Amino acid sequence: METYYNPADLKKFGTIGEWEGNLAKKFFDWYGDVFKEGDLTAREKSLIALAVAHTIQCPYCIDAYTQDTLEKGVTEKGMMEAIHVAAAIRGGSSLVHGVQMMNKAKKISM
Amino acid sequence: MIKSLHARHHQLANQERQRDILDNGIFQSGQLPTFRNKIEALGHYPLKPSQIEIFQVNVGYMCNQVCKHCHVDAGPDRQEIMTRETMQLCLDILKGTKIKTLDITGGAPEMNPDFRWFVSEAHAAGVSEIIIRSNLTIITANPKYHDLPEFFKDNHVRVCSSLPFYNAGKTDRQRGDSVLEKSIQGLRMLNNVGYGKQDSGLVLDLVYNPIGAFLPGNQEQLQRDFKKELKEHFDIDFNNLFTITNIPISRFLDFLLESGNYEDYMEKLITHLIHQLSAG
Repeated sequence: METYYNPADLKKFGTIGEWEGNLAKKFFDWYGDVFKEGDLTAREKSLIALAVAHTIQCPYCIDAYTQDTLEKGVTEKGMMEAIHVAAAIRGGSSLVHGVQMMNKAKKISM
Repeated sequence: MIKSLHARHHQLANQERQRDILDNGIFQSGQLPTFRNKIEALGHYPLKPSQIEIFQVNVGYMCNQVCKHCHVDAGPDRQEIMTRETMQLCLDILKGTKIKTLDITGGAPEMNPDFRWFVSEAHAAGVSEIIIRSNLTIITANPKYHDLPEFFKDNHVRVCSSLPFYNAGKTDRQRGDSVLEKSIQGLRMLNNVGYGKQDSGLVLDLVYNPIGAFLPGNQEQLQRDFKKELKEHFDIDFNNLFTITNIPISRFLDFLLESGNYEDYMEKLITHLIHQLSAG
């Protein structure tokens, strides 16, 4: 079945450099540096990436960072907790706008 | 408990069949680099041994566990074990060379009835270091094994034990029901005689291998995690954690093929191997 997303395309990520090598190199160098150990551990960064992957609902990123967090020894419970953090922020983001809705409704209502 | 590939007359019990699968398939297209080509490109082909440092002896496939990833297809249904005569030949070799380390593995090597004789003889012969690959659960499997920690201590054995994770969910999925719980009991018995304790001189190392079709993470980070978790939850001490990569043979190859992970895993494994070879 033909789909927009093909799992095999994830391995071809590097080929974006074929059409614009200079910017691709800058991106991949920067990407590599971002995920190095810093004040945050490589594992903490991987968990953030896993949560963000679910927020932006990128199947390539979910594939990559599910594997990466498992490799880094994160428990399955820990992985799910990270996704709940992402979901809580997404849900909270909608709900906190309820205040805006209430403000507007109160303003225009008698 | 699952049966060994051997007992199931599975095609992968045949090593020739394993080689067929590994040599063909995705390697036939020529898209993946081969180890030989890479070694040739680096000018190291053919690889030649310089000296023998470790003499690893597999004393049999008999085991009390049937781990899903087992690379030698061990299990309770495997009866093939090394005889005392062959062990004597190994001892003769050790006495005639400068090999420093005897590394005894299995199956569960402790299940070989001549295991204790072999270890005692090697110790008496003055082998500098004797490593036993113990699966931990064997210590609690039967009263006749309960004194293994004392036996290890008496023979100055270095104990090296598999423990893929510090929680039951992951460990038991790979190694069988209640394996974590029994492994913790085994570790506690080893700790009680001094293994893994500071300044005891009795070394207890753990070996982590990934529970699935992925590679191991950073060894130091995982060692920190294991030390913290095993201490906090079970009051267990150990010396070092070593991470190892599952190799695509025997029951792990079966898992890769059955789960549809074979090609992705091989590509990842080879890409990392070639990268590390290039990095020197």
